[in-house]
Amino acid sequence: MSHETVLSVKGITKLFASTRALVDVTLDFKAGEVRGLIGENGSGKSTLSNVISGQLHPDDGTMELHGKPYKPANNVDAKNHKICMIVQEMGTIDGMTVAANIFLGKEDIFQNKAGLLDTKRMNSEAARILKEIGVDYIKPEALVNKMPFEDRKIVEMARAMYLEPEILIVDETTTALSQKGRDILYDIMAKMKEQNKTVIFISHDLDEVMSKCDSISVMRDGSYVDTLQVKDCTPSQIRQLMVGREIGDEYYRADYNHEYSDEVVLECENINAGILKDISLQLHKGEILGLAGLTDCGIHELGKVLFGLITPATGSVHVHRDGHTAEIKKPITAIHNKVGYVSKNRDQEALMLLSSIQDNISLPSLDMLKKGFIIFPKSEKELALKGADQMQIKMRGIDQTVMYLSGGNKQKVVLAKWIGNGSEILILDCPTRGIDVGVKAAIYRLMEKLKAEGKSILMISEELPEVIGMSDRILVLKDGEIQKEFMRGPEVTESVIIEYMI
Amino acid sequence: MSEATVQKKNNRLLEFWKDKEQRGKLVRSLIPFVGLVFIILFFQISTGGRLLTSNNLRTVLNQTFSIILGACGMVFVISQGNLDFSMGSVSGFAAVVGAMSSGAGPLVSLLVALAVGAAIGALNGLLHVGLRAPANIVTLCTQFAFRGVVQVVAAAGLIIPMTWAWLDSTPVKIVVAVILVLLTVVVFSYTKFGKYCKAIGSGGIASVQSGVPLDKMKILAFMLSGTAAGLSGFFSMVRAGSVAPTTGTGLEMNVLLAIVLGGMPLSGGANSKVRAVILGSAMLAFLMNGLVIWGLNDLVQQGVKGAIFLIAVGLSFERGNIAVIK
Repeated sequence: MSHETVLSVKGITKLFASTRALVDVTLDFKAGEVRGLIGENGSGKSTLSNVISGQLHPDDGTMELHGKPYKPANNVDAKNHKICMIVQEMGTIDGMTVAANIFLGKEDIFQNKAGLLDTKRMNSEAARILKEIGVDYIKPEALVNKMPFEDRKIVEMARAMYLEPEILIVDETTTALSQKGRDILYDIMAKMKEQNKTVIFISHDLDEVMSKCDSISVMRDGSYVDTLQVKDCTPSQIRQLMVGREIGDEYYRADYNHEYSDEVVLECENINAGILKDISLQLHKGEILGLAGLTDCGIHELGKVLFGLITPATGSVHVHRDGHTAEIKKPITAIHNKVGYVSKNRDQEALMLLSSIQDNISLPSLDMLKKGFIIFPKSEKELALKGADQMQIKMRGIDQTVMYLSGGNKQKVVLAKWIGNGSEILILDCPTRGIDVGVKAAIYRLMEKLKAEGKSILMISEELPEVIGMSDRILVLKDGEIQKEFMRGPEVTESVIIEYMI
Repeated sequence: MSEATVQKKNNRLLEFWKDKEQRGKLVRSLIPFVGLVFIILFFQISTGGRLLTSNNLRTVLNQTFSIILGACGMVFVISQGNLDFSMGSVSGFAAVVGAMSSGAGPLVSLLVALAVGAAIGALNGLLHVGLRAPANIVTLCTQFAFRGVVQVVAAAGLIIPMTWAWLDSTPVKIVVAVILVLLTVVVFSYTKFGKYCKAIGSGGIASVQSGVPLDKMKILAFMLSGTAAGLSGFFSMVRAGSVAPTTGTGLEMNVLLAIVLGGMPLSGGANSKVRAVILGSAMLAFLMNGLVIWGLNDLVQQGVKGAIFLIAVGLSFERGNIAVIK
């Protein structure tokens, strides 16, 4: 198998206003390899993939495809050059069938003699492609909006594979997928490699990149740092390249204690809501309780039920504070009893993107700040400054608009909301989703600190290493039911937990 | 100041200017001021000095007054990213009921008009929240419904006592407008309700997850908008001495146009400000007045207003909120 260079990127620079997203990036991609592209948030890896896939135009620099100049006008042009990309967020169109989504823009190949669309032929072709990538449970005639998020991602993969790309770019797709979806994607990647094609795999998850890639290119602050062969390097080496400084191995909690008070602070009883079946659980003072499971097993819904965002069909949620008990039916009750909630969908649900850092941080605390009817700007500012300071948000000032912050900084703003509000119970739904190593470590340290202060944390996560690494106790959910409870200990490993998840 | 501090200050100014986000904010906040000055100068010169005469200024004040009254209520609805198209009809209907109760004196009549406005506002809010229907559609429906009622009931015109004419005086209007604007500024910028309104416009789901009672806040905002319409209805009744089938017609468009001209995006949210109400109302009043002095007929004026509206909306809409226009 030849490992010739397929795509060369030469001196690419891309500016956004005054921010330098890419600075003089030069690197090669070879045939028959899965190349990991890794870096902290804002390091430029997504910008680079957008340049390659034709969605952004570089301000400087050139690219060569098979030795010929390559200058895609847009992503359609890139697709014509057999370069396809699967993105992190939604890329399918609601109200259309699976087959129609796969062949979007290519309908003319299914024209019959009367000039009409031959739906039957289109569906059978779609079925063939889906089968090729190892999916037989998705029906071509199904409407995409009736399907779970993950299956829609698989439709996107099918669409990309139909074009038989030479280079496939996978941009942070796996964060939205459960193990099932990931396996399908990994199969596609392996197949591409077998056919001497190229995969560019972008992810935050270092373990995933290490296990699926042949080589890894590291980016930092818009610059290309180095490319390492996976077989010759260690995770800590790469982490160091990503951050530019030494990060200790103490990424997760180092201890194996599972000490917490017997005092119950938050509990639910016999919750039935949507997929959730008869769930009862108790969160104790000073406890980090992990909720593990696949994407659609109900862990995210459970978090929303506990915060009062979803009203369960039966069952109740209670919070106990200073000897008094309240039933949580609405978020406002939860917030008044010092419960905070961090959504999995940061940009859509947890933040007001066009508002300032201050407005975002102070919003849940306005009740606390008001004197009579009036909220004085000074007290609002003080609260926001304190929160931002505690979370060490990198910013120019608290009047800065949240939209332009990096992913990790945005998450710090979300956390500052609840820290500023003095929350004693935190429900964290995928708190480190799409976040770089540096901020991830900071969030883990914060969780430890909160635990030490006697606060309680419910951590919902699809990332098993962090659930295992941080929790005192782990509840595993499958199809809306609690399958198993684990206490913190060295014997709790990923493979042990996965058995109860699938 | 030493040379070093001057240098440092200059550097900071330069940095500020280089930062696109900061610069954009500054420029956007200055446009309405510049616009107001420009409009005044433009019409003052082009009408040969007939704009800024004491007689004409009184006319402008009257026009500004009715727009400001409505805008002080509508600003809450718009900051939530909603619109209230029913304002003119509500104003007319409140005037009708106010005129009917005029026998009990001006104070009772005013309170009745305000209460009617608030009640219809609550109806708007309840329909919007309860039916989960877009607010612009709901308020368009109530606009037609109440205009219909006004046209039937006030077909022959409703008269109020002549002795109420003192209410239609410049000092009364100035006092009312100043109190109302101050109240609006306080509620909008320094209370939980005002901040919640902005939060809803900035991100509905995010505000709910931060404890904002969305439905309640929406209904309250529509009630304020309705109350403002009632107030405006009362004063147009006092000014005309009667209620006609057309009383209040077009108020909502004037209010919307004023708020947009004042620099507030119709998408609401973080960049909402009360300043827009005052500046925009004055701008629109001078503009309309200038066009009248020019001798443009009513239809052409409508056309000019429409064109200006489109330009102002285009400039102020927060495109960051949406990737594709629905």
